[in-house]
Amino acid sequence: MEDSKIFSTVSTLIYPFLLMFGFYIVINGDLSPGGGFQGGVIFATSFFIRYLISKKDPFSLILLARIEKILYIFILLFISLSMLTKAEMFTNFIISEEISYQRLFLVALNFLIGLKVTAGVISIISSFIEEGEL
Amino acid sequence: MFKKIKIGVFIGLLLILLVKIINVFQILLRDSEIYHYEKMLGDMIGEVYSSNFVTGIYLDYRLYDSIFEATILFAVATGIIFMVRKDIEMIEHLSIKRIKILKK
Repeated sequence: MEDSKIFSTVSTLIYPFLLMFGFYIVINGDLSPGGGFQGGVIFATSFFIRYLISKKDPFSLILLARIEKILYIFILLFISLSMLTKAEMFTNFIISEEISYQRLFLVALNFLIGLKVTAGVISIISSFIEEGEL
Repeated sequence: MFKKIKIGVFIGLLLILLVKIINVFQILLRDSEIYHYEKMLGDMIGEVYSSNFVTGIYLDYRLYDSIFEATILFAVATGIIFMVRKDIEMIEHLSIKRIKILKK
């Protein structure tokens, strides 16, 4: 893409708000529309905008793939914890009756899925960047 | 002989499908939509403790779906990396690992 002053200035203005928006979508996912997948993709878009501003690609693909692998295994373990407390696979593992404690599971799972999706989409984008100049 | 058996089995399966479709329509006619919604929403607040019903579905009732969605994304990311990256560094990385495994 050609260097344009207007484009880079507007991107620099948008970038922090996009980060905030992605974080809001992930954290507030169990109360409002949104969630881990959508917020993760917004996060990845904000990193792509950062690449468009500075023309530097700071992520190494092997590291990103490793992070995604570890997070995926961690999510699987986190979900199957309910086997120990409720003897059911893939549900909420908190036994307490209070709503505020039960919601912790949803928020944490949204957050983990958001991190995983962020790593995946950033790795896709940066592999395309490596292949040919975007 | 085999052809006749095949045709018979096919007609039997079609009949089973027809009976099933009629059954589903009967159930739909008997229980109206409003009744279904009320039942589902009332149960969900007690079970999932989430005020957003979509979250209740994709993080509790249908957690299998979310997990396989994440799996598909993982497979896509690793596949794209594997197909795009064919430079010397990656091949060396892989071959070094393979040599280490062989030596053991």
